[in-house]
Amino acid sequence: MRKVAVASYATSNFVRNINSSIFELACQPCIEILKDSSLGREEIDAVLFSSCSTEQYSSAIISEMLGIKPKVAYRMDNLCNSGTNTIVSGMSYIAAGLCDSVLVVGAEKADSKANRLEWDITRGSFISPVYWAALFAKAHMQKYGTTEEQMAMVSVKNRNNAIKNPSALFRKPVTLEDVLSSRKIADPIKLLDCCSTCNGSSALLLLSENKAKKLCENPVWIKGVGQRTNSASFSKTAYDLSSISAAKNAARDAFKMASLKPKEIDIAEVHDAFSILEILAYEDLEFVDKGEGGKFVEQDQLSINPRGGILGCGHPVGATGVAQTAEIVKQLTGNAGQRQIKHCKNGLVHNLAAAGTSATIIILGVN
Amino acid sequence: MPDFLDFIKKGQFRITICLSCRKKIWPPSSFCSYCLSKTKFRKIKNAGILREYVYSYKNVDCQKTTFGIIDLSGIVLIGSICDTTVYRGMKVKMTSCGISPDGKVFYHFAPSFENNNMNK
Repeated sequence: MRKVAVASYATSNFVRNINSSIFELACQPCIEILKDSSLGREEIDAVLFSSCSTEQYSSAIISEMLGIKPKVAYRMDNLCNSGTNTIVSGMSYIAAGLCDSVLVVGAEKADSKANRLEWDITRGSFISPVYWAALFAKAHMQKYGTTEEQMAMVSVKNRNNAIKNPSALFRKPVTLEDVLSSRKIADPIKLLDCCSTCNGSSALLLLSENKAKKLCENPVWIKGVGQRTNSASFSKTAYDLSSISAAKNAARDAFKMASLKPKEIDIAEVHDAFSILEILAYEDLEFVDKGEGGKFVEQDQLSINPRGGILGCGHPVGATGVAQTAEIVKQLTGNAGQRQIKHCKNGLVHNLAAAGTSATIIILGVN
Repeated sequence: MPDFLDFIKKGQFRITICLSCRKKIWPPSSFCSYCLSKTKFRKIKNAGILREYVYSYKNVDCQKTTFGIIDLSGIVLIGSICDTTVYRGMKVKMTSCGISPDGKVFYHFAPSFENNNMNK
């Protein structure tokens, strides 16, 4: 299998309101990448678009707008982990020798239908994601003694990290009191335990080893990936709310492929669409033992979600996994400015979809 | 084959059962996800167990609704419970189902008092 590098990246501002079409939004970070890259547009073999937008033939449209005639162009949707799934597909084309350069772009409008899975009738009228998140939170509190304060600390940390991220939707600090006194949505989840959907886009340029070494000063390598799809309906995950098994098993695959252990990860972007999910991620990624996630957040883990996570940045569904990966590449190449984490060599992306029924893990490194 | 929604519109809760291996297929499907044989709709018992529950709050008046994960004769779904005094392991029964004016499928449950009194 050939090595695959992330050669460059760009992310748009994540905003509440926007006048652009989904195509203009998607092109925005791509233009930044193409202008900065010495790679000619004629050398791009594939344009893969991550979005839950229902616009037809979108990847071909984006390719045409960008003046690219790729061999391969299509859209992928997998709800909230569309972005990382698209990255893994792009990586696979290069690893298999079918392509040398793949442009991966994710974009979503705030009013996307991806914000809820209408198909899942097992959720009854409780179709909004906050309801399943509340059930996970309640079960974790009951089984492991996790507290509402610990969940609130996740929100405080990530919202405060987002202050240093000019692309983030939320750039004002929140306090523990703000989170705990925010409106109750579904006990124990309050308004500030929840992310907000928004408009946004992010793109990455993936290259084969040969191209990366020629064109890139500091390539970041995709060292391991893991993907699992357990089901689509909540009913199949509801039997065990103590962990997200898709993430746990995908992480094991990714660590094995990367020949790394959890303790060797210096920085991670984890899927904190709700504060409880970050606590579950600590455990599912084996950064801590099962049940210790709540206490882990009290240790002020600055290397988790330094861009502000989904809670701080907002959640443009198809762009999220790409933006998470872009952040890890930014950090590993020392380009994260004010929010740079020192001495990081290996980073991890944790991206979930639909009540944790599927998950993607990507491990990246500088060597 | 009728659709799940055709039944639920009439207030009837149905799941599918595999004609070959007899497994319950939920959410309903016209074929079995275990052996890929054909299925047919069947009624199941309306008695269930509340596995986990949460209170949700409506926007304006903070009106509290109880909902939870209910194990209903071997299948799992999220339903509302018309009582705020609930507990894990509580016996419940489906009292109604249907489609609300905003187009959402709903399942309503109530405590099954006769059994709970003995087992609480």
